[in-house]
Amino acid sequence: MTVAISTPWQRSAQARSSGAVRSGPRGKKDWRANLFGRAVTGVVIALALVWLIPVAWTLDTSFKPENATIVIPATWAIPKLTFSAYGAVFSATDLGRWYINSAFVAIVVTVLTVITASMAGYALSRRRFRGKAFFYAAILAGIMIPPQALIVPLFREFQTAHLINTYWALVLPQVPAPIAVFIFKKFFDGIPISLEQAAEVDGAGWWTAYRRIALPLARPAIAAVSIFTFVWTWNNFLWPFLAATSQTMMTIPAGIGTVVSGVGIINALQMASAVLGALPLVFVFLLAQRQIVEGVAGTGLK
Amino acid sequence: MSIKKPSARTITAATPGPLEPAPPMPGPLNRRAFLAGAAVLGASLATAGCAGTYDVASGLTGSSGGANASTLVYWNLLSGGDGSHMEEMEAAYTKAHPGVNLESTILAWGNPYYTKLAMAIRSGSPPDVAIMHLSRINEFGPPGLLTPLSLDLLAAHGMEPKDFTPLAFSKAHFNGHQLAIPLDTHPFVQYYNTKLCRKAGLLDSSGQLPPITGTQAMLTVLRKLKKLGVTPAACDQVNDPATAWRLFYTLYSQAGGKVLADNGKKVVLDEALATKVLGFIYQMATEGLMNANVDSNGGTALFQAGSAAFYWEGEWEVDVYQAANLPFSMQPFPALFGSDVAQADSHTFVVPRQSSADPERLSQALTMIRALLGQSLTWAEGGHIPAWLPVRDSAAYKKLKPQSNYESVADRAIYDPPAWYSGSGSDMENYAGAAIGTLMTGGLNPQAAYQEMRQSFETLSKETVPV
Amino acid sequence: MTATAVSVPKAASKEAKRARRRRGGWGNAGLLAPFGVFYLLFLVGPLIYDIVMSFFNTSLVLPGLGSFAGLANYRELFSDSRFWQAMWHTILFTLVSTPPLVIIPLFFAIVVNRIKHGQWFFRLAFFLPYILPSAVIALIWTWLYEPGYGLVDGFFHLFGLGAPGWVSSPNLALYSIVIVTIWWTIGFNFVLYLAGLQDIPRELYEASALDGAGRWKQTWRLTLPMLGRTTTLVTVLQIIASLKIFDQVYLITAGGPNYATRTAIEYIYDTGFTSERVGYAAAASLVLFVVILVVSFVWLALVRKQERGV
Repeated sequence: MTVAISTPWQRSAQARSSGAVRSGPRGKKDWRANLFGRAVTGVVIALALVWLIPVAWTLDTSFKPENATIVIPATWAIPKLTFSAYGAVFSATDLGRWYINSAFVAIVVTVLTVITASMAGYALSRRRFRGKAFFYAAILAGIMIPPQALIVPLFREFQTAHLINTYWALVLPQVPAPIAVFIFKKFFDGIPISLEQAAEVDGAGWWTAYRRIALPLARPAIAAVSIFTFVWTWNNFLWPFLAATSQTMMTIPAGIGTVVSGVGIINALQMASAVLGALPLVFVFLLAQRQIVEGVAGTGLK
Repeated sequence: MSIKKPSARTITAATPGPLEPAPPMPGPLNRRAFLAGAAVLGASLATAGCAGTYDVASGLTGSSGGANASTLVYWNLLSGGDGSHMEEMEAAYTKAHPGVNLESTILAWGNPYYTKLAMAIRSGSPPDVAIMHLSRINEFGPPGLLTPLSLDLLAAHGMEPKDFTPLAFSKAHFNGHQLAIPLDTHPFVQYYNTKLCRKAGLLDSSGQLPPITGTQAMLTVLRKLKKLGVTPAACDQVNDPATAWRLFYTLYSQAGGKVLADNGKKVVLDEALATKVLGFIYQMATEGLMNANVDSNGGTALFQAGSAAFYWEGEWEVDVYQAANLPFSMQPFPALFGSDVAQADSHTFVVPRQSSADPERLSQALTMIRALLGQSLTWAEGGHIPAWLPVRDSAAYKKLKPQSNYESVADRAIYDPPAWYSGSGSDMENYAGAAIGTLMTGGLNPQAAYQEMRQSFETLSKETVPV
Repeated sequence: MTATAVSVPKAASKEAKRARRRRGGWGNAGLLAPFGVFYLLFLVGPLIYDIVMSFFNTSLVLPGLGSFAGLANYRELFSDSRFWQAMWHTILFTLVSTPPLVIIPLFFAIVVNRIKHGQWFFRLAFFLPYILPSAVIALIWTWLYEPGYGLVDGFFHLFGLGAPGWVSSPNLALYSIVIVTIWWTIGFNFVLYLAGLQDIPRELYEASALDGAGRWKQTWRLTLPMLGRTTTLVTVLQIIASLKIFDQVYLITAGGPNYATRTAIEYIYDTGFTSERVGYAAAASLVLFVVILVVSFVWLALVRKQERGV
């Protein structure tokens, strides 16, 4: 690993050894610093707990009967724990349908993104052809385009094609991801070419080489791209909000953000729908935490 | 296998946005992750399975309710008390027509609702029936977004022009076609706390508040109420430009003023009249006779708690106060500037233009509308003046107090000035209401508020008309 | 003799064939095409359409491109106070939210990095909000900010203080949204910093400790400089994301009160979809796009300089 900044300590350390790469400073000698360090840690622990409060409050409210939510001042006490708000969500909204739409859209987009981006990344990495540099630059330039600036023409496109409020409209615009192509390309760059050469000697064509050699080796990249595409597509609000005009086509974010669920006092119901709306991704997060965090972490380095 | 991470520079613009995945990075694939994903999908499908039948085909072809022939899709923007009443009425309809599956969606009030409706219609997947404020007809009429309803067709479904409040029905007639069927008229009114008014010696022998005529009379009354130590009049404007607009427009129309002409292309706001009206509102604000430092929840709460003697708002809060057993009544908004007109709007039923004409669905839609109209008494309980005359003229409605107190206003209602950018919850109301609202808390003097209003109207009137 | 003479050309041709196949046209087209189609239809195409529409008076509810407007849309845009207000709100939001979102997670990461056990707890606490959809965030925080009944007001009540209108006061609303955004997105930067910290080799700290550097000095002189690149990355990602903000503002305040929180993207949405003036909205989109492009290029130059300089 190359370290960019050269400090006197770095130079002395390099001169000294090449040990295990692990972080963590040491310095227990100064008791004042120790106390300060402990206080600071305490502050961070307290803030972490504060960070959990909004979610905890949401859960708390969701289990209250509605009239218990309109007390002043607000209190954590639940007079009578009830699931009625959760039941009300399903009867007042099309949440079940939104789950299906979200899952369908997220999965299809993920699959299509992985397929198209890995193929393109492979081509840019392995294949030699005229204009390759141009294509590569064109795709990189695409990374700069903020999709929010395109909502108007995209809507118009689908409107003209009479495809608004269909799965086509929800899925298709979310598929092209230049950054995914770039990731795959860099990944394939790192794979020794010898494996494919061996395959070619055996008479394999480009498609077989891609399918049998490159793709299996790309599992880590596929995993990371899949997870992120899935999470981001699931959470996408603006485009489904525009593209889905009827309740039955909305994804969870669009549905929650657009439809007024229920009449009268609906605070517990709204909190219940928040919990239900977040649940699938929370599951994914809890189970795939390491992958997600590693993916994010890898983003920034080098 | 070592994985080379991408250089930082290409991650630059790959900021997570709605339409693109966050910069993903290689990491070891975990079977657990796959299982997790599968579990999630399974759970979603299982939960979804609990809630009805799903038609993926319709999701691909874009036919929403229409795919299922016996589903009627109905959109409205009625939440709160209105929403409960509408649900009651829908229930009565579905009970009488078990063969039809009514899919009713409530969307947020204001611009978001109309944006969604327009987009849905133009994209070919509109609801079968929708609620529309009558004042929005200049936005939806010209581009042909609504299905014209011939009088013969209406008659065949039990609805004739004579059955409706004439003013509302005629306003729903646009360019030679009947585009909307009025459900009600909902004017700006005055709520008054009878207990407080009695204490101030304002009530007459029958326990009612006699009509207050003229600005001086109003000021006198408000000052008397102020001596009781309560808020004389509450009127919200925080986050509520619509109410601010209604207060101004009621008084300005009473003075005979006009705002726009030539379908909104010309601004004819009269400076003298406007500043006179604004001056009166300003006086009430600065003299402490009117509290406008509340949002709609706050204003309702103030009146409900008995802390305000008068409440100036649309009539739809009546449910709330009755439920709280508040001693109150309602009356048409006082005639302070000459005439006794008041700002109002009407909820109407419209049949959005469908991509393909289907007489059967149209008939179903009209049947539903007729059924809901028949439930107008339920609707009137929520405070609205029914447009359906068989109910409005009925003894049962006249018995509804205080709802029937202001029933005559329906015939002298002043709707928002016609323009494509006007109507309930429109930009016009938002911009003008912002200026008026600030004046209502003393933040702008009348001249400044007038200038701001004028400027907003001028800007809007100059925009190229998109309809 | 003949045998060898024949075999060499055969081997040579096979090699040539392999080389040709690797260069083969159809294979490349086949691999690039799928992505290319999506790319052209849904990224490049719309961008071009945006440019074209900005010269017309296209309407949302009428078919076709509408009447030709030339530069009228742009001229109107540059004198449109509401557009520049929206741009200002966006920039103000960026200026106010970026420093906390760069500094606070850095602070958290440095502290958490030294904690031997239980790092998972902090990761959960700070990162969990990040995976929640914006619509859920909006529900949670609208309820938290609810006048009277909300927890925030309740907290103030605990100390006997009155609470201001968090989302109803034009002066306060934008900052209330900043707080929401900080809560929501801090996890992403936190994790970036943690990873950066874990990349700093241990022996540097050992060496500095041997030289008598205390924890504070280590942090100041060693940790922070080594995180330079990560910090730059975090900052720029943050800035660009802030410029594109829409979701939480639209869902919590709808751009209010009185348009005091309306951001650039929301202005584009309002003009294009609410006011139905799609051509005008396209022009606004392009102006915003140029601004984001400029910021991206500035950063690119910054990073190049950084990489070259150190």
